[in-house]
Amino acid sequence: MEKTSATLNRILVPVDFSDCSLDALEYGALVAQRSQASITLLHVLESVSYGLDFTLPRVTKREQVRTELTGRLSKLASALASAGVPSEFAISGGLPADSLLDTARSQLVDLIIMGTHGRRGLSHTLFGSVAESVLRRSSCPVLTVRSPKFRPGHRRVLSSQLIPASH
Amino acid sequence: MPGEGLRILLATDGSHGSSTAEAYACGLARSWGASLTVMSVLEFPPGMDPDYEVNRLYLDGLMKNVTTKLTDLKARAVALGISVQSYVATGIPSEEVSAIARTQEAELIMVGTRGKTGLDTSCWEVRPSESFGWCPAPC
Repeated sequence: MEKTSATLNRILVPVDFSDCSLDALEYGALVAQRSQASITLLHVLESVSYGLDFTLPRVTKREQVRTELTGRLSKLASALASAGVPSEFAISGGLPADSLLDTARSQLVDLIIMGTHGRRGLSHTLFGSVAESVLRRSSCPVLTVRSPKFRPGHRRVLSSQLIPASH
Repeated sequence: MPGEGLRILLATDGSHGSSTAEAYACGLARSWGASLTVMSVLEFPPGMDPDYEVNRLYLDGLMKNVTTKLTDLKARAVALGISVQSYVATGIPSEEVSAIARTQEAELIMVGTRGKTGLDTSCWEVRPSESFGWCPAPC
């Protein structure tokens, strides 16, 4: 259903821990503060195709990665809580755009805020854009944030000590 | 960042998608106490002579249509108690929207989308995604 009013109760922010996704989260936190909305953090673990060398250590490694991601998402949720923004987080699998749109639908989010690299030309053709795919298919509004909008040391909600500068 | 003195830029072409964006922009501007800049772009490819008679007729027709729509939109927003400025630009939409966003120091750009996918995307451009590469503000 199409929304025609700006009711913001729940905001979905996909996070891959890249600078641009964290800038989007920073922006999302400020929007949430202003609108008294809650944030759902989502990290998508892209599906892995196992070859003939499929072994148990690889499964163990994947579990380690999931545990590590849970820790990092918890830290982000704590930073948001310190800023007075209620949040929850989830890790899902699959293709990023599909997974994101599924979550947006199932959790009835009012707004998706996501980072974009702002690729153009050949770079865009080669690497595509998750943000663009979400924008085309989402039934709720999508706010995209490009990193160059911000200056270094701009993050107020997510301090630089908490998050490494790049993934 | 959303804060005091916030300015939202709404780019509209008068389509159904942009009327949804209008409702959303007005709602946000009201609840955040933001001012609104509304704009439309008369699409005109670079290299064509705007003074050539046929082009002049085309642009005049577009201008008349857009002015009516922007005036109506402005009246609706003012009725909601929102401070509004309006602009009409000529050129390539994504570039003109970005240029106005820069000069107006807009914190947020709002545009409607028709949500085209697949073959539609190849045949008909989608302006919001085009703007990703240019936008100085979140959109």
